[in-house]
Amino acid sequence: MRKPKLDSVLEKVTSVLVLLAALGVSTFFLVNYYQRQSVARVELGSGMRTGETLPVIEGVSYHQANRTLLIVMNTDSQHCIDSVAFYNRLLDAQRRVESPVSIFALFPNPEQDVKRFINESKLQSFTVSGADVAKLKLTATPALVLVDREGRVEDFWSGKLTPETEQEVLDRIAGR
Amino acid sequence: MIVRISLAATVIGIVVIGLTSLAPAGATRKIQIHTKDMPEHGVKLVSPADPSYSGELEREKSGKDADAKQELDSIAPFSAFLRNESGRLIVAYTLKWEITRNDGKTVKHFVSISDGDALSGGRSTVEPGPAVQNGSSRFVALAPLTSSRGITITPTFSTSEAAALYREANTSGLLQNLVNELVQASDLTLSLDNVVFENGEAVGADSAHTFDQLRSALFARNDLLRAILNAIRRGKSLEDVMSRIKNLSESEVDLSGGRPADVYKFHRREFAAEIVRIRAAVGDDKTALWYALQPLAKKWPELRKKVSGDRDQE
Repeated sequence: MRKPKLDSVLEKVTSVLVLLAALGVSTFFLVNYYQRQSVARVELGSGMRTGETLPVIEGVSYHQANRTLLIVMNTDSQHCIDSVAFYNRLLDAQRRVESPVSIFALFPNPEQDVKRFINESKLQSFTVSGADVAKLKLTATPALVLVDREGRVEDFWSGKLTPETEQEVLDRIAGR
Repeated sequence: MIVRISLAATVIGIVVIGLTSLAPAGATRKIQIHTKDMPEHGVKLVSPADPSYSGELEREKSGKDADAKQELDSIAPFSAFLRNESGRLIVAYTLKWEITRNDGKTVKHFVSISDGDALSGGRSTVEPGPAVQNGSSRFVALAPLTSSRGITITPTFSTSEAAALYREANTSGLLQNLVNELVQASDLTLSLDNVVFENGEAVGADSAHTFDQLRSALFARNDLLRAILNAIRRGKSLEDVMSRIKNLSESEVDLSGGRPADVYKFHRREFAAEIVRIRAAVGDDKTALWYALQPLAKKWPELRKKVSGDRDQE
């Protein structure tokens, strides 16, 4: 038996509306899902602080000079490679100051990787391989940490430095 | 046919809703906040990563309405408490937020606050003023939450988008902009860039060059007040003097070049505008000018940078 024409039209209209509603709701949930995935929540943790005393790092002595500069690096970091020229300038500068600063380049990487890095980059600093740098609570490399004889943090700088900040570091090393 | 299609669409919709609802949210990024304050000068920062921050924030929220409390909660990563244990009054300070991105680039934002009254030899005329008393803490944020009288050098943002949002006082837009930066970050360093004590002594790296701006502002104020006083002594009518001040308050200044002379003119214009506001409040020229000239009767601290090796002065 054929349905009345009106019923047939109503059925088609209802079906189209249901289709559109389903598509609309699905789109909404999909968009919401991707937004939740892309906007990550940020959890803040406590990092380094001026005045705090650093833990002992094997291979590093804070007592050799009035101040010690730790250069925290990673052989896989391009920014570390790009910063080597500045670190060599630092080494050169500290030789000319009245109160020299003891400088250590710390790598968490194994010795052979560090040796290869030094050969390729021409870094002139004394290096420590396999260092437990996680103790320093620094997440970005490279990083510089200036400490006193007792290992207390006087200052620190994180990431690749701008020319202005490089000069700030040079001035600190020179005691200006 | 259409019935089958709509049934199929409904089933797909239910499946999509179910899967997306049950799927976990985006991974949490852990960012460490490093703090550079001045323990040797008795000035400390309490960052959001500090255990005592939440207690300080609760005290800050006390007495505020629900919207204000929510706003304070939302700006946690870009706020801090400055704690003064120096034994002296802090009359100006600058905080710096450095966000180091995963690509190694660092974005810097500064907030500078100063107490113009205290820097002009007086005491803040509002309570609490911009100055930070010994033994107290002050909440500082990158977003425009509160207004306080005094010389406020507006926050400096590394991106023009953030700066524009601040100027529009669009706090929610600014916060979203800053959070977008933070989610690309590997870490965040919060620093005390500059602190000025009541005797004019300034300490800190001052990478924002706040010290020079402060000096320029104070010179501008002093010069303006002396010019007003000299005009009155030369016999100019108070009406003429106030008219001249009003013209100054409406003068055009182009700060885009950052030239010292333009910065000076900017501050002079702002102080002139303050006198015009006083005039509007008190209703007559004589009272307004009397009030405006009060700082000249006081001894202004001499601003100077502390050289390493100098002992802290009382």
